[in-house]
Amino acid sequence: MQVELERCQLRPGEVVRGRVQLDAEGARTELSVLWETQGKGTTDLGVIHHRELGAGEHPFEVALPRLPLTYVGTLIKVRWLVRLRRIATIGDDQVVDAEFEVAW
Amino acid sequence: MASRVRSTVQLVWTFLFALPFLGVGVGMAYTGLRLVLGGQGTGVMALVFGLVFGGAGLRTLVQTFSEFRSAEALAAKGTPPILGAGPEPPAHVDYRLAGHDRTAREAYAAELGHPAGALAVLPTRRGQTLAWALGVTESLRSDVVFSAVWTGFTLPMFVLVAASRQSVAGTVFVGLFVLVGLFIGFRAFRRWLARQRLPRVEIDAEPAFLGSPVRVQIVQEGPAKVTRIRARAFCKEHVTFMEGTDKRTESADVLELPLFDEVGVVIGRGERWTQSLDLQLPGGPPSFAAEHNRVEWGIRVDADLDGWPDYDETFVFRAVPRPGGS
Repeated sequence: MQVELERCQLRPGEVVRGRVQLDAEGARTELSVLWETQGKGTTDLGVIHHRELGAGEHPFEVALPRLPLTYVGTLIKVRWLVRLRRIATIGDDQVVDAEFEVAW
Repeated sequence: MASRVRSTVQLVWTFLFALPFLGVGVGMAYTGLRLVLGGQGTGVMALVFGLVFGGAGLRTLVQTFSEFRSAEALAAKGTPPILGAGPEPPAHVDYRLAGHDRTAREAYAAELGHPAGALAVLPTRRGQTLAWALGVTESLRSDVVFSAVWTGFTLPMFVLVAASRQSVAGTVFVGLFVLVGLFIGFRAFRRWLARQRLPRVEIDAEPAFLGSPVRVQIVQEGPAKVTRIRARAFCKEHVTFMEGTDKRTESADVLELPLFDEVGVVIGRGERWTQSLDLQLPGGPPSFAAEHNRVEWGIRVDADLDGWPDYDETFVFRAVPRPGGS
């Protein structure tokens, strides 16, 4: 499974576009557009779009909010991601992230 | 593009841990219920313990099953769809919206917090001179409640131990616990007292726009003999995280902008000491507020007051990109 983004640098309020390619049948796969914090603090997550996908190719476009912006600080990083998660019944989920930047 | 996996070992262990609780709990509750129905009062204890054990096991099991959903699915639950960016507010955003009790700036701030809640909601308080009065956000309630509960438990124990006159060491030991509660209560009371002399901090725009000037006014009411009073604007990162079973917090300065530092200010009864200045905000970073991570803008004022507890408090405001970018 893979994610392709049309652009990796976006402005707040713009639309993130791309396509997802899923090859395996059967396993439940989720597509999410989200921001995520990284750093010393417990991870926070803000999901602005979430849906389940079947096998095949899926184009997507999601309008971004105006905040938060991508941020790299001392204790906190805020990253924007398109995330694909293949849910495993037993074992570990497989996660593929495509990162993009949201900045003025 | 990165790829990674999530471990389920912890999930399995939690499940195995919860099952015996549920089994023992249900068994005890069933036995207790039978005894009670058979007219034996001793069954009540078994019933209560069984319900508590079983409840704990059931709760853990429900939690375990809910964790089978991905973190994204849980976070997305209840997130409203984005309604569209909508028209950009004009450069002058403080006009009042037709039919609304809020300005376009406030509507813009509400929209910025949508949909994933990355901007704090601050209480709206109109200022006396400028548009917005900032308030302190740190509550003393937790200290007061802790002190009351702690002292409520330890003081009667201390009285009992002291009245028995059996052990001086025991009395001193319990007395130390009482002192901890009283100390925390006294510290909260002192801080509450200091807050009675807090200055009024107002700004002309909330949220403030990054890269733009914001008017700040700080008013100290008399009577007060101020040995020293300082104010600075700041931007800080705050994070909370778990270390074992302890919840820790840590902060880091992003920047600090001195506003003023005055010494020997004497304010008579009924008088006011006022400082007005323009604060030029830098281009970033914007305010950010999530459950465990925050980027916070504010004005910190601290003063040494003659004959009164000193204060050192922060007044939080939000700083966001201007409509159309910063």
